[in-house]
Amino acid sequence: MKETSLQNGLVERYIREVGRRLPQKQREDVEAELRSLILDALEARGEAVANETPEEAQVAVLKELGAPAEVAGRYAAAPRYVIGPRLYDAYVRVVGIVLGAVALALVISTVISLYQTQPEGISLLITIGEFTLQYISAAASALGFTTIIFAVLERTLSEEDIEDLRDETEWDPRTLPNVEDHDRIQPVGMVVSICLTILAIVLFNLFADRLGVVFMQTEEGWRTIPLLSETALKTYLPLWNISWALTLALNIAVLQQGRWSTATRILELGVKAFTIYVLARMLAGPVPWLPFSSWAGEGMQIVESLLTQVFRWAMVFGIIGTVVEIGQSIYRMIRQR
Amino acid sequence: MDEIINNLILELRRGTLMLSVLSQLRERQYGYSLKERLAEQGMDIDQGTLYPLLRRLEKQGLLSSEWDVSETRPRRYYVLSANGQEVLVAMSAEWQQLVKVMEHLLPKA
Repeated sequence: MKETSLQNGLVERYIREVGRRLPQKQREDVEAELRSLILDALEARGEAVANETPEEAQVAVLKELGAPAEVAGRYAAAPRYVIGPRLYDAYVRVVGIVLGAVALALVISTVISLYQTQPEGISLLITIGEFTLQYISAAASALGFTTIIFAVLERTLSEEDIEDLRDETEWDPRTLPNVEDHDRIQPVGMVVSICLTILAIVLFNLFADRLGVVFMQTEEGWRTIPLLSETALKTYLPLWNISWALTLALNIAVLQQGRWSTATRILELGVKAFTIYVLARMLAGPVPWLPFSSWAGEGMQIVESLLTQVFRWAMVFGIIGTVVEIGQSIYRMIRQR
Repeated sequence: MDEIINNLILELRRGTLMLSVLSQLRERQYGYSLKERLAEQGMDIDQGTLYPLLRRLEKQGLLSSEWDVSETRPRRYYVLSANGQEVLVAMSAEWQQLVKVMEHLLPKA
C-alpha cells in the first residue's frame, strides 16, 4: 500500500483527531508513532485479509485502535476529571459550608424584606418565589466558584503539596479520640466561628452606619435606612469588641493546640462570665436600634414595644443559658479530674 | 451476570498487562511487533491500550525508546531500562508467589 495515498484519508484524519487532544509537547511524537503503527497494522492486514478495499482495511484497523477521544485520554497525563479523590472530601466539606452560608444570608434578608414590605396574598407568594430564585442562582454561582477554585487546585497542587496538607506524623490508632471525648475540637466549626467573629469586628467597627440596614422599596427605588442606634452602639461596641477579641484569641489558641486543655477551659469560663456581664448591661441599658418613630409611622409603636419586650427576654434567656453552660463546664472539669 | 464477569475479567487482566509488557521487552520491540508477539502467546492487548501504556512505562523510567529510521518506515523501539530490568525481576518473584497462593486458595476444577 502506498503511504502517500493515505495523506488525506481516514488515517490522517484519525491521527489529527487524536493529536489535537494531546498536549503540544508530546503531540508530534505521538502522531508520528501512531502513523507508523497504523501503517504496520494495515500492512499486516493486507497480508492476512484478502478481498478488502483499502478503505475497508483502514476502517477495520482504526476501529480496533478505538475512538480518538478514548485513545488520546490514555496518552494524556493530565487529570481527566474536575476534582480528584485527593481533594474530594475537602471539596464536599467546603461546598456544604458555602451553601449553608448562602442559605442563611438569604433567609435573613427574606425575613427582613417580608417584615418591611408586609406583602399580602399573591404578592407574598411572589416575594417568596423571588427569593427562592435568588437562592438558586446565588447557590449555583457559589457552587461554580468553589468548583473552579478546587479544579485549579487539583491541577496546580503537586503530590508533595497534598502530603504537606495532610498530617505528617504516621497515623496511630491509639490517638483515636474517646467515644465521649469532651476535649475534642471541631476544627471546621472553629474556623467558621473565627471567620464570623472577624466579620463581626470589621462590620460593626467600620461599617456600623450601613449595618442593620433595611431595604425599603419606595418610588425612587430601593432606599436604605440605618437601623442601629448610635448611642447604644457607643455604649455596647467596646464591650462587644472585648468579647469578640477574647473569643477570637481563645478559638485560635484551642485550634493551635488541637484539643481543649484545662487552661483553655478556664479561659472559656472567663469569656462566658464576661458574656454574662455584657448581656446584663444590655438588659439594663438602651435597646440597640433606633426608635421606630425616626423612620416609621406612629402605627409601629406596638411593634416596637413588643420588640423591646422580646429583646429584654432574649437577654434574660441568654444570661440563664450562659450560666447553665458555665455550670456544665465546671461539672465536667471536676468529673474529669 | 455476564457483564459483571466481563468487568471482573477485565480488571484481573489489567493488573497483568504491565508485567506482560515488561516480560517481552528484554529485547527491543516496536509497538506493533510487541502486540503481535504478545498475541502469539495468548495475551491479546488492545492496541489503543498498549501504545499509551508503553509511553507511561517509559515516563516512569522502566523503558527507554528511540526512533529507528533505517528501515522502510521509521519506527519507535522500546526496550527495558536498567530500572525496568530490576522491576521485572521483583515483579516476577511477586507473581510466582501470588500464583502459589492462588493455587492454594482456589479449589481444583
